[in-house]
This record gives sequence, C-alpha cells and structure tokens, in this order.
Amino acid sequence: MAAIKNSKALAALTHAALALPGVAAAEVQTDYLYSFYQEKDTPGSQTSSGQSVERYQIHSHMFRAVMPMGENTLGANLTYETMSGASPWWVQPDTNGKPVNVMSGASIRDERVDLQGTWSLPIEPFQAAFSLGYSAEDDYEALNGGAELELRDDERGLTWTGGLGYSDDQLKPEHGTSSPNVIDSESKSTLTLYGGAAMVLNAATVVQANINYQRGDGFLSDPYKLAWIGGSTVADSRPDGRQSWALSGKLRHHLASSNAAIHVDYRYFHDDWEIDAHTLEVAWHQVLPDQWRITPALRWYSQSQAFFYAPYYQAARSDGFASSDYRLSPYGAVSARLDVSKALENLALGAGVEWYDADGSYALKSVDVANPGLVEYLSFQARITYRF
Amino acid sequence: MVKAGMLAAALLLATPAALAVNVGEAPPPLVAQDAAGNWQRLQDYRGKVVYVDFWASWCGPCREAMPQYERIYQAWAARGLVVIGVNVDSDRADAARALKRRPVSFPVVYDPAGSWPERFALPAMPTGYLIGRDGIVRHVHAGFRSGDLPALEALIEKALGEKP
Amino acid sequence: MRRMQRSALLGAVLGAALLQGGCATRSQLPDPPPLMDPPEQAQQSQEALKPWQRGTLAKSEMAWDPDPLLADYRRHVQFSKEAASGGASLGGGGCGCN
Repeated sequence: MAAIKNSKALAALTHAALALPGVAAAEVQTDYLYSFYQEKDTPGSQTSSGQSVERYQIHSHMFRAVMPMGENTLGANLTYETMSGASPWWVQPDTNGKPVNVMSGASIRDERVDLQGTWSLPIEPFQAAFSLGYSAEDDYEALNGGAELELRDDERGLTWTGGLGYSDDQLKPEHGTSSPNVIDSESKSTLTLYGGAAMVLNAATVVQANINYQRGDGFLSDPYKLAWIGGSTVADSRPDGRQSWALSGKLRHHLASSNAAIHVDYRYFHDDWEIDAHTLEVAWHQVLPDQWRITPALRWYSQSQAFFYAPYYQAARSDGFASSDYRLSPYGAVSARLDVSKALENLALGAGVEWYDADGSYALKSVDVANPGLVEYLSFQARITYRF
Repeated sequence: MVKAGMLAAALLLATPAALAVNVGEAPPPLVAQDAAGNWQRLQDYRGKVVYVDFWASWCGPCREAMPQYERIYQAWAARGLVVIGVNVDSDRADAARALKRRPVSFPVVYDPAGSWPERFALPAMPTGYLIGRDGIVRHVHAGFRSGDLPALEALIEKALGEKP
Repeated sequence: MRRMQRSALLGAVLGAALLQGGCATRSQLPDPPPLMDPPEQAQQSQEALKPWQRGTLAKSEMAWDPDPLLADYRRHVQFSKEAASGGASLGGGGCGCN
C-alpha cells in the first residue's frame, strides 16, 4: 500500500562528480580524473638479491560523459592506464628461513584501455540501467555486461536496488624473461549478483545494507607467478572456482552544526577459499565557504589467508594448489587520504592524495609470517568536471 | 485492536496531518515574501490563471522544470497566466545560485521553514497547482518530467479559456 | 589477474538516488492513508520524511559516493591489491592488474 514511485535517479545520472551545484537532469556532464600511483620500493632486506627493487607505477586517465536524452540517459566511461615496474615473481626462504621476494625484474610494461557504456531508462515501476564494456591489455581481454534495477518506495523512505553482471575474460600471457614457461591462453568468467536497500532514518541520516555474491570460474591463478616448493618453483595454481559473499553497510549522517557529512562504510567478506576480510572506512566531508570542500578519510582493511596459501612450501600440497601471492596472504592495511575540491559555475576541480600501507601487524588476528610482497603506495589524483 | 486504534487516533490528534489540496478545492491562502521583501498574495491574482510551483535547488526535476515554466509564463502571461515559484530551500543562497543559473521572470517567494508545503501537503517535489480564474484548483502536478509538458500545457490553455 | 570493479556510472546512478531524494518525477496523487497502521510503526514515527524535507539528504556530500569517478578509481586499486571485493555495484571488465 506504499506508494511505489520510480525515481529519475537512475535515468538522470545527474550526480556531479565534484559536486557542481544545481545540475539539472537535462545537462551533459563530463568528468576527467588523472591519477599517479607509485608503490614503495621493495627493500633489499626483502629480496633474494639483497637489493631494493622498484615496484609498480601507474598513470591512469579516466573520462566520463553523461548525456540525458529525454527519459533515457546514455553514459560512457573510458579508462586508459600505463603500468610499469617490477612485481613479486615468487617467494623463497633465505638462509634463515625468512621469506624473501624474487622479483620479476622491471620487465613489465603494459597499457590498458577500458570502455564502458551505460543506458538508463525507466521500466515501470523500476528505473533500469544496462551496461556493456570491453577492456584490453596486451595480455588480457575482457567483455562484460550487466543490468541493474532500482525501485523507490518514497512513503517508507526505502530504495531497493539489485543487479546482475557477467564478465568473460581471456588471458593471453606474454612469454618473457620472467615468464618463459607461461600458459598460452586461458579464460575465466565472473558472475556478480547484488541486492540491497537504502533507508532514510531521518532528515539527516540514511543507511544502506547490501549483499553481494560473486562466482568465478575458469583460470583463476596468476599466470606470471610461481611458488617455491622444497627448492624448485612451480606455476601458481589455484582452484578453478571461487564463490564469495560480501555484506556491507553504509551510513551517511549530516551534522548541521559543523556543515559536514560523516560517512561510515563497513564490509564483511567471505569466500570459499576461506578468506575472511573486514573493511572499515570513515570519511568526513567538510563543506567550507565559497564552494570549497575538504575530505579527510581513514580506511582499515584486514584479511585472513586463502586455505592453500603459503609464503613458500617445504612439500607440495596433496591437492596440488600452490600460491604465494601476497593478495592471498594474511595481512592488514591502513590508508589515509585527504581530498580538496572547489566548485565554480560550470566547472569543478579536485585534488587528493592517499597513502596506503599493508602489513602483517595491521591484521585483525596476529600474523606469524607476513608476505614480503605486501605493498605500500602513494597515489595522487586530480579531477575536473564540466557541464554543458 | 481497540488499543491500537486509540493510539493511532491519539497520534493523529497530536500531529494533525494537513489534508492534501485536491482538484475542485480552494487552495490555502498562500502569502510569502519575494526576494525584494514584497509580500505576494495568491488572492491578489484572483481572475487570473495561477500556476503555483513548489521547488528547491536540491531537487533535480525542480531545476529541470524551471526553464519550462518560464517559457510557458512568457508565452501566456499576456492571456492572464501567472506563475508563482515557492522556494523551500532552507538556505536562501542555494536558491539564489539556482536562479542565477536559470533566471525566471515570474515571481519567486521564499518559505525556508516549509510551512506552505505543509499546508498544501505536497505529494512530491516539485508539485505544481494549477488554479483557475475562479480560484479553484484545476490540476495538481506532482513531480516533473519533460514528457508531462504537452498535457500540462493543454490544461493551462483550457483554464485560460474559461470565463472568470 | 583480477577483474576490476567498474562502476563509476552505475555507482553514480545508484548514489544519485539520494541526490534526487524527494523529487518525484511523474504525476502521482498521494495514496489514501492505510486504514489502520500497526501501532509499533506509528510509534516509531516510521512515516517517511516529507518530500520537501529532503534537502539535507540531497546534498552532494551526503551521496553514497560524492565523487563516483574517484570512488571507482579507488575501488579499482583496492581490487587489484586485496582479496576482498564486492559491494553495491557490479563488477565490470577484467584486468591483469598485478
């Protein structure tokens, strides 16, 4: 008996990337983001050679354009990235049994182009959005599509959302000095389902709860990585299926006295590789005079290890799995960021910096042996938004 | 059940819900100040066709509607159409910015406390009330989509054609 | 090899739900009130906010992602460095982002 109204929220896509004041639904809006991402060198104490090695550096360019056309809205997203640097190849024990990285050498140099299109329209009583995308690198190709629905119940202050997505990925690893025996080609697919509800608690508070399910099938290993087993190396080998669930909650609360909004996001993640992860992020969006805004934020992340992970192996596992990828290792990470933006009439500018540090000591549960490949990075972003 | 009913009744008495303004009724006697501080009274426009548009700068469809209402006003002011914009932003500066971007020539009045939306019991933002020359509501336009315009314009034209 | 979270557009789409809060976009008269509400509900004053009281919720700093492009970028980086992923958005195209 609640009045179910559809909203133009999905169709409008009017959301200003940098909070331009008063964007109307019928305006074309364009956004650009540039980011420079730099990982800290792996110190000599954590490499087999004893020498520090420069790790990843990424330049990213992201463009977005949103064009309303009557009840329909078309959107396009283009990402162009160049990556260079070294990555952990495998992990082996040093003379004391301490795990150290064997690095790939600075041979990795790649670029990625990703194009996504979105079409949003009302389909009574829903607002719907359909997306199609293609991403290509020298050694990787992915085609993805998805559909999302939104239903608003204004009487109860509820908004229901749900989505279904699918990605079909092809891996074509390159043979090189750090990958002499790599596989020729493999494929994998990922199915994503999510559903959730947002609820207005009062005039200044809104909360959201979501459940997300992902299922990966196919070649889920890293074709370039190796694992050390009792003195020799084998290819990184993981199960050919993975299912994960993520439960997340978000809170947005406006503090009129400070003219600021506080954001709290929490996510619990669990997968059938036995990884449990917690993510907590708190951000303070401070509104300042003359359309300035400053946003400090803190994030904490912690994960347990995949059941087959080890920094290195004394003997092969009976199931044949082996991976020393730091991303499957037990660790925690903290990050701090600061973002500033300023809106003008038809233009908004923004800049930000984020520092991220992963370490065994930040984990929820104590980590006996941290992977030597855990990253520390700095990233700088500059953004510009323009409406026509 | 009786208890529940009594409780519901008590709550109703405690917070009397304003009754929505419907077609065929007289609207509440809207009186509010414009940017210059002049009082604008709905009753002063008796004999004309009045379109009262409740809007806010934070509402996308409201902003989208403003230039359309300005166009309609320009086209039919000579035939006796008046548009009154009732802004419900709590901060006047927000409204001023929106109007700077999309200027309108029809009168805009300010109700930061939201007392008139309460009196009209708005079903949505924006909501427009088309009031005939006789002071009676002809049409309640909840929300705004550009596709609504032909039907709305037809209703305005019909109201303009009616004798006071 | 990691699939990336691609959601600037869709994230913005869903985040905008609040930006547009309280703005109906089609003509609709209010439904008649239910004859009897459960008293718990009435007590909690669960009655949603009035349409014209949503100005604060519509502020851009109150959006789920006030800057969707930045949020998308950060999700992408986190996705390529951490085992956990997934939220109120769809995964998109993949990447070999090691």
